[in-house]
Amino acid sequence: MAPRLVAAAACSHAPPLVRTDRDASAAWSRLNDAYDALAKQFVDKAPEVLIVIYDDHFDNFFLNAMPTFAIGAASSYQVADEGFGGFWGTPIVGEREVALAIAEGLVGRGFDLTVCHGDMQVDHGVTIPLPRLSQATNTRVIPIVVNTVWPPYPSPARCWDLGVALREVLDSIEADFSYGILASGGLSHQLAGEDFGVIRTDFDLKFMSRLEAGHRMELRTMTIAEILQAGDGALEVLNWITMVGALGPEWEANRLAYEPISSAVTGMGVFSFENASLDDTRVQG
Amino acid sequence: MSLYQVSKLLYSLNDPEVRGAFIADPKAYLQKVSGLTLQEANAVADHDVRTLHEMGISIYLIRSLEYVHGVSLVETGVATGGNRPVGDNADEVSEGSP
Repeated sequence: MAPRLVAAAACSHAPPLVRTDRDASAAWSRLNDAYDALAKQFVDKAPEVLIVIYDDHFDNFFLNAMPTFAIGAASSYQVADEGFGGFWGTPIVGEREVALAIAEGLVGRGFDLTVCHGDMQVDHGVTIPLPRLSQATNTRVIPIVVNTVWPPYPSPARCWDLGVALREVLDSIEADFSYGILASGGLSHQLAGEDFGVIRTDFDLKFMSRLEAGHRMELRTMTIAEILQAGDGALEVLNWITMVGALGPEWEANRLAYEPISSAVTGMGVFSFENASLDDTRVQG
Repeated sequence: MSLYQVSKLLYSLNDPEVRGAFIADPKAYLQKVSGLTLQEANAVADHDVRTLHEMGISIYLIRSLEYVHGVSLVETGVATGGNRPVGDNADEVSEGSP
């Protein structure tokens, strides 16, 4: 039998989210509530494996060898230092066997990912959302990295197609486990230069509307130029597009929060994706 | 101008031990790095992020240098030529690192 997709989500990974206090403002309170709702869902569905699709911010990869797409197939991951010691204290447990099966399946389907077998660090793309979703320390993580930080970037179409292929590969594996997929990053943000701090809420609202089932093929026809108008950081929506490609229409988008937060200079989005046909099914084991 | 060499120097600051050596004596550290022009070495030594940004250095690598100096992401963004965020939610939680 094939592994079971039981949970899916997409959310911002902006470093200010490390603060969970709510008294700052109504907007932060709503955001924190949204992450809590996501956390409850992931605790309820209890995926044994979590695939995290994110971008590395020059914490693990560098210009000497920049993968367009990479998959971690290590047995554990160190938390990247990020200048001050990192956003989580302990190494993250990997799931090497499944990651290798995914890598093999994707390479076989013509997706030439970089495969990282060891010595891979994960940065806030993983370590900001992960503690919010799972206090369980035994969730095994498979990191999938999309290059959104240095050109040339993969196209939205390529990212979508990778997501589709990822799901096909997972559906073809003979293994019995439950898994979730999380995309992190986004939405609109520009971190440097004269447009620093500009949040394009119009872009964000339009992007989020494309997450609805029936509109998702519009994600596939987006362009890098269009996304860059919402800021360099907005390219992180490529992580979301990759994940949504892996979901079928039975996974409905549920916007838990959208808050443009000036002090985080980011349009912060939190989405869960829910499959109604699974609602009455409790994951076994 | 070497975008690659300056980027590589900033990437090296991700390592806490290397960062420590840099902090202890930036000028001595920079003298040992090859491939930088004097202007580039000065920009790093003075953490002149505006120049580094205009050179095309990634903000994520500029950030590595700014953490050395305890400068926040928001302050870094302003220093690269931007305006201070204003409006709703502008005064709230802005720091993502201890």
